[in-house]
Amino acid sequence: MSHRILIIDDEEDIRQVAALSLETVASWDVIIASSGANGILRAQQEKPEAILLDVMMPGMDGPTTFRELQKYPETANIPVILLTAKVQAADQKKFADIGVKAVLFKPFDPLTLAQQISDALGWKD
Amino acid sequence: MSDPSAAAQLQAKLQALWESSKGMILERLETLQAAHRQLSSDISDPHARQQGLEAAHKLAGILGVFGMPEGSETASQIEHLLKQEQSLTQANLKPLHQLTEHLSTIIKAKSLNPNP
Repeated sequence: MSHRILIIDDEEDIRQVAALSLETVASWDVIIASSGANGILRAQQEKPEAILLDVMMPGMDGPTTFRELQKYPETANIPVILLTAKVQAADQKKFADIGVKAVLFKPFDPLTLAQQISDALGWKD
Repeated sequence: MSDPSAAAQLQAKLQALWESSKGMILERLETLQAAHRQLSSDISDPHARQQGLEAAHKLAGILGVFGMPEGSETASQIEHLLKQEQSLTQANLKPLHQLTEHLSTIIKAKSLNPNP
C-alpha cells in the first residue's frame, strides 16, 4: 500500500536521500519542505499521513515546528517522527515526552528507512 | 519493501546522488578544517567554533547514508568536542586535529572512488 509522507529538513542532501529511499524502496508519495514554517504550510495544504521532521534546523527547530503543528486542527493528528543526530540520543526521552510517535537517527539506512517508519507508525505493509 | 530490484535501483540512484552531492560535502569538510585552523590560532573564537560545529553536525548526518559510517562516527565525535559547554582547551585541540585529519582521509578516499 502506498503512503503519503512529508519530509521537513533544512539539509538538501538529507531530503533527497530520504525522498529517493521512500519513493524507490516503498513507492510512497513524498512531499518535501526545507523549513519548519514551510513544512507547516505544506502539511496544511497536503494533509500527509505522516511527517518526518528534522530536529536541528535554523529558525524554527523540529520540536517548535511540532508544537505549532499541534495548534491547527487540520495537522494536530498527523503522526510525527523526529529525525535527529546520534549525538542527541540522550534527548530521545525528552522528544518522546512532547508527543511525537518516534525518534529516528541520522545517518539512517536508505534501504530500511520506510520499514523503520512503518514499524514506528504500526503500518502493516 | 524487500524487492531486490528496488534495492538495486536505490543503490544506483544513491550513487548518482553522491556524485552530485560530493562537492557540497567537500565544502563542509573545508569549512570544518578552516574552523580547526582558526581555533588553533584563537581557541576562544566563538564564530569558528560554531562554524565547525555546524559542519560536523551536517557531515555526521549524511556520511553514513553514502556508505561512510566511520565518517559519520568521526564527525559525531568532532561535534561532541565542539558542543561541550565548557571552553575548548589546548588538550582538546589535539584530538580535534586528529579527528579532522581522519575525517578528511575518509571523505577524500570516497570522493576518489567511483564505486559506492
